[in-house]
Amino acid sequence: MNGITWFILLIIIIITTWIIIRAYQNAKKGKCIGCSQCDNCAQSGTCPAEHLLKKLEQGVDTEEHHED
Amino acid sequence: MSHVLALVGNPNAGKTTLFNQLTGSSQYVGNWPGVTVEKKVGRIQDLDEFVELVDLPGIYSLSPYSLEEVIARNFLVEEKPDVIINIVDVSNLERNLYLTMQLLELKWPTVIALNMMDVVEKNGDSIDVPGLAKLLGVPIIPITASKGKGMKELLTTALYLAHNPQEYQDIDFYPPCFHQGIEELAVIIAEQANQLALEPEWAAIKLLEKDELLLQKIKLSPEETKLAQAKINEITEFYHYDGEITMADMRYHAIDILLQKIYQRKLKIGEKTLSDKIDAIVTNKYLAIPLFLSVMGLMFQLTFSSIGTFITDKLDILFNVQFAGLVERFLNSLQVNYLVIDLIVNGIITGMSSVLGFLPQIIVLFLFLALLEDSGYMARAAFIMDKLLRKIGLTGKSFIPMLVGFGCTVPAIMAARTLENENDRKITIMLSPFMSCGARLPIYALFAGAFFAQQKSLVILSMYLLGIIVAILVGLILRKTIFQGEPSTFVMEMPPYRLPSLKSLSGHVWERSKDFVIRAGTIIFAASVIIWIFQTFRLDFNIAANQNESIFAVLGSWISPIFGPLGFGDWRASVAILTGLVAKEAVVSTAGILYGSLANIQAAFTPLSAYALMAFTLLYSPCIAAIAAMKRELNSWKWTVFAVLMQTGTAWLVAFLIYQGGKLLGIN
Repeated sequence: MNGITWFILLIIIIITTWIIIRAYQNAKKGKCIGCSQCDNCAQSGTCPAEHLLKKLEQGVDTEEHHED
Repeated sequence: MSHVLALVGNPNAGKTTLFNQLTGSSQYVGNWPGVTVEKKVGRIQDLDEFVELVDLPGIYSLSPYSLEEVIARNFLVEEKPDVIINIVDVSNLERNLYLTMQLLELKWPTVIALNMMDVVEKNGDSIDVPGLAKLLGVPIIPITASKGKGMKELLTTALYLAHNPQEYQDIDFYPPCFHQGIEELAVIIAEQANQLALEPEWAAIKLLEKDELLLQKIKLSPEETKLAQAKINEITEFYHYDGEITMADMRYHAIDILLQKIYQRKLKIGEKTLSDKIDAIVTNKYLAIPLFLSVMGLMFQLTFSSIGTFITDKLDILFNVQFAGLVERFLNSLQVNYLVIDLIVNGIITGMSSVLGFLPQIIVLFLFLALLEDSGYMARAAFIMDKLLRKIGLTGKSFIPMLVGFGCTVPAIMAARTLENENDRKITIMLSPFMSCGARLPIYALFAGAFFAQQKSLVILSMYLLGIIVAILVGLILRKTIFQGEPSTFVMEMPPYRLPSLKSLSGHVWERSKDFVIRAGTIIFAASVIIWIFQTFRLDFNIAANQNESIFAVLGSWISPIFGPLGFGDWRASVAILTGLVAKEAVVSTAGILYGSLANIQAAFTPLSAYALMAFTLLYSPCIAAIAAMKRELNSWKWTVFAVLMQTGTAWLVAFLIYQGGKLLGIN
């Protein structure tokens, strides 16, 4: 195998390992790797259902009235 | 000198936002014994004295019906905070004032924070705030908690009341004859109420309501009991209802009079708005469910049979033919090892593109879901489902986490925190994974496209409905067996229909699409690499001459007999299901890598077995992140393992019934 092959393989191994470690750490916290919603709710304690409930009741963009 | 301020209000009135505004970063989360729902206690900074703010759970009343109500009430009655800050959401004023009336019955220094005044103004209505303050006899401060407006005034007023509790005005809202009856009852029980450190008039009202908590605690003599009962009978006979209904009637009557005096509506009483007229059709007893199904059907039709599919087909050619070919030629020109080229082209690109290809359909679907949410229709859908769920003993409030579950299972599980009843909460956590999350969409799109091209949208809609039906049935079984008890109540107000803003729609779609792309670029990338390794090498790590000698073939053949009766005993399908535990999209990327082409998938399944597989992937154990969320929210490995086994068992049973039932009916 030539140098470029080793280089590409190394990059793939590093990225894959990093993703697996991140995914494991996130899963331990109970959140998905790509889920920004979980970042909001899992980390800050903001409940997505209350957010949705407010949105459903107000029928408006809850960014303006993001309560609880 | 130290003071304790208690923050009380309806759920979603803005309590936590107000709490965060007042306490800043000094908050900490404390758990009351035996309760898993979080509550907060914080210190208000930058004051000369020590002032603690207690954020009590969101409640609708001080009746002892839910755990939240009991906790909030016990705190107010037993701990006696210096001042009650009652946050009132003015956009739902009537409902919020019902709690206010009960708080004022406590006859304790109270200040009202009127939140969301801007919503009322936006509706063209107006509130006479000084007039309301005069009628209620308490200071009222208009605030906008989300923007921090009115915080200083609120805090100053609350602290003034804490220092000068004598300033509190006791105003009676109820008719004089009723008030006299309550006063006479209070005199009878005064001694016992005082022993419990309760205000006799408040205890009298609770006694009239047959309040269980009070009845357990108060020790009346036989003579007092006889006199009290006679007085209660006198009051209830006069009003023709039992004590609880009489009290509710009194409060709502008082609220009605208040609102007539201080609330100026844009519309005249009895005049129907456009929303009312639409609701007469949309929430009609007979039309509601057929209309709901039609709306969902139209949504899936537009997503999977026209706009979305057209772009997905074009993307498929772009990724799998043009881009993959370009990368392969480039790597060949660099004389990269053929195995590494195969890993990149047939592993990573095939795996990721098989998932990313469905992005256009995801975008279209979430655009429609956002449209339904923002327009106000989803609130009606929750209302329709509430009626349906209550009939079978589940709380309609469970539908809200389930709605969240259409996006992602993890926040749906967390969303169950809004349920007051512990059994309702556990059931909802266990049922939410049955709702079809966005990650499962590519699975349906792949198999429905391959086997049901003409009825694609109908088949995908049937998956969503199957998830809801199975959730209802399993919920019913759980309610009748393990989690027995009455469901809690669900209060929700219908917003007016609105034209959704482009900003809100694009924001919603962007968030969802971003999640999907990040997941495809990370977890699906890693999964594709691992899948390629497991299907390229043998157990002794030599290159497999063909797929059937690979590590995956060996592993898959061990578990494939389980899926034989379901119509997909092929080891590749078994492996795809297994990798779906990492992330549901991995089922598609695995199928893409292992089967290689759509033609191979069509050869390995029949329409019936493909449908059974779709049903199985819909219902079986959620992904690892969702399992971890379940563990955290249930706070028990026992219940988590039970949930995963129950979900997988249900999936197996439903897929078995579909496949074997279909075969019996001669369907292939």
